[in-house]
Amino acid sequence: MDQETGIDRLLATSVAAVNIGVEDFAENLEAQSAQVVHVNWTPPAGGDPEIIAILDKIL
Amino acid sequence: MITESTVLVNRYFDSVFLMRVAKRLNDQPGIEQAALVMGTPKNVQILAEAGFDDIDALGASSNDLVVSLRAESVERARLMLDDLEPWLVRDSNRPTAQTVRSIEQAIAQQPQSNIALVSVPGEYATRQARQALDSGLNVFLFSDHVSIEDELSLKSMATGKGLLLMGPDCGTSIIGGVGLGFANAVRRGDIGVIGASGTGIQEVTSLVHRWGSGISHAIGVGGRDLSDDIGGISTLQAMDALERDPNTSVILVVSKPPGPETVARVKERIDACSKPVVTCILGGVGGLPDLKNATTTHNLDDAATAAIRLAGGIRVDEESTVSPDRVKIERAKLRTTQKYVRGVFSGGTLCYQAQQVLRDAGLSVHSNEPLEKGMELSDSSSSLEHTLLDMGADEFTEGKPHPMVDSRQRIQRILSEAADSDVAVILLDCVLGYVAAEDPGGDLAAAISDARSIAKRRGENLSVVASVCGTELDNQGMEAQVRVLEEAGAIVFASAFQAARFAAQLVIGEEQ
Repeated sequence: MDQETGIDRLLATSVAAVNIGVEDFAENLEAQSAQVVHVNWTPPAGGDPEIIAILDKIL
Repeated sequence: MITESTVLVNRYFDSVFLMRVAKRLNDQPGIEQAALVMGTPKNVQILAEAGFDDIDALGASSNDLVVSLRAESVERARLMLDDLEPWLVRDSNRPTAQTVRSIEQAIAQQPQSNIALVSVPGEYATRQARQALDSGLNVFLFSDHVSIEDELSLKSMATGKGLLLMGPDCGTSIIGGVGLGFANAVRRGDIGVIGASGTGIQEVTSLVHRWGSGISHAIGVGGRDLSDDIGGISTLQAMDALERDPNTSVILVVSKPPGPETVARVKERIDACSKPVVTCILGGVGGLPDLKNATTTHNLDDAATAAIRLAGGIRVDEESTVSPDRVKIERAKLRTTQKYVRGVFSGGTLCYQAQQVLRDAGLSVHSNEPLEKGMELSDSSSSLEHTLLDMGADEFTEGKPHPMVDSRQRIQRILSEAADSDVAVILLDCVLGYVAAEDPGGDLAAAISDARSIAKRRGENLSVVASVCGTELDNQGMEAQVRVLEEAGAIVFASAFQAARFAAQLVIGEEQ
C-alpha cells in the first residue's frame, strides 16, 4: 500500500478548515458543525504589489 | 440620475459581504445602483468605466472601501453615504468562527487543520494558497483571476506534497458531507464526484440526493484543470484519492471536453481505475472516446442516473408537477411570431448544458459563453434570436454582485427579454444552497409575473420555464422555492436539463 497522503487524510477524517477571505464561508462551515478557524485577512503591505514582492524575497 | 462616491480608508471587507450590502442598498428608495468594492486599481477602473465619475480623484487604495451610488438626487446619495456604518455591521445572529490573524496562528489554534479555503482577491490568492500548501494544508481556491502559470505552479507544488489544490475559481466542493463554498446540503453516500465547475457539481450532487442516493465527496478542480496547460493534474489526483477512499464505490467526472493532449492521460487513468467511472462531458459529443471502464454520458441527468445505478441504487423520481401534454398545451398558446428561447442563467454550467440541449434539438444558439466561437454575442447586453446568457460571467459581475447572491441584474434582463415580442420562452435556473441568496425563488417570482404581464398586454402568452438546483435540506427549502416560482406562473422542472429540453420542444415546431 502506498503511503497515506494529505489528500487521503482529508477524505478519511472530518474537515478542519482554515478560512482565509470570505467570512460567510466560515459561518457556513460552523453552521454545518465543521471545525473552522477564520483568518481575518487584509491585503499585505497596504496592497502594494511591489512591496509584497520585496517582502516575499526577504522573508 | 446622478453618481456619488465615498471612500472609507483602511476598511477591508470581503467580496461576498460587500455583495450582500450592495443588494440591501439597491433595495433602498431612490437608489438605482450601489457598487461596493475594495479600492484596487482594477476595481477603480471598472467603476470609472461603469460611469461613476471622478472615482480616480478619490485616491482609494486596496485597503480602502469604495462605495459608489447611482441615485435620483445628490441629497439622497449623500444621506446614504454619510451614514454607512449601520449597513456594514454583520448580522449578529449568524455563527462566528474563532478568528486569528494568520495561517500559522490558525494552525496553532487548530492543529488538526487539513484544508484552507482561500477566497481573497485574485492578485493575492496565489501567495495565500502557497502559504497554505507550505503549511501542509489542502487548498480550496475560490478566488478567480489567478494566472494559468500560477495555477500550474501551485498544482505542481501541491502534487509534490501529496496535497490537493481545488481551483482556482472553484465554487463548490463537498468533503465528507461538509459543503465548501456554494454547495447544496446532500445525503452522504458512496458516489464520488470530480467536477470542473461549481454549478455542475451542485446540480449533479443535488440530483443524486433527490433521486435517492448520496455523495461521498465532490471535488472541484477548477475550470482549466483538463486544459492542456494544466494537463488534468487535480483531476488525476482526485481520481487516485477517490479510488483509494473506502467510502467511494463509483466515480463521476463532470467536465467540458479535455484538451486534445490531456484526453489520452485521462483516458488511460480511467481505463486503469479499479472502480466504475461515469464521465459526463458537456458541450462536445465524444471528448473521451473508447473508454473501457466507463459509462459515458453527456448531460447531468444521465450522469446522476448512471452513477446511482452503478452504485447499486435505483433512481427514484419525485412526482412531477408538469403533465406530459404540457408541451402541447403551452405551444397552443403561442403566436406564430413567438419563436425564440431566451435563457437568463446564474449557473455557468447550467447555461452551457442548455445550449447543448438546444443545439442537439437543431437550434442555433447565441451566448456570451457560447458552445462554439461563432455564436458569441457581440454585445452581451442585447439578445439575438435564440440566446442563452450566463449572467455569472465576468462582464456581468465585475464590480457587481454575482446573480446567485443578488438577482437584480437577472430581473432586469428577464423584463427586457419579455419586452421582445419574438420571444416564446424565458428559461431560468434557481440555485439554492450555502452562501446563495436567502430566497432566490422569491426574488425571481415578481419578475416572472411582471414578464408574463408585459407579454399579456400585447395579447401574448410568454412561457417561463425554470428548474431549481438544490435539495429539501437546503436552508431555502426546495418545495417552497418550487412553489413560489409556480405561483408566479413558471413551469418548474426537476432538473436544468429537463427544463432546457422542454424549452426546445416548445419552439421546435417553428424551426422545422
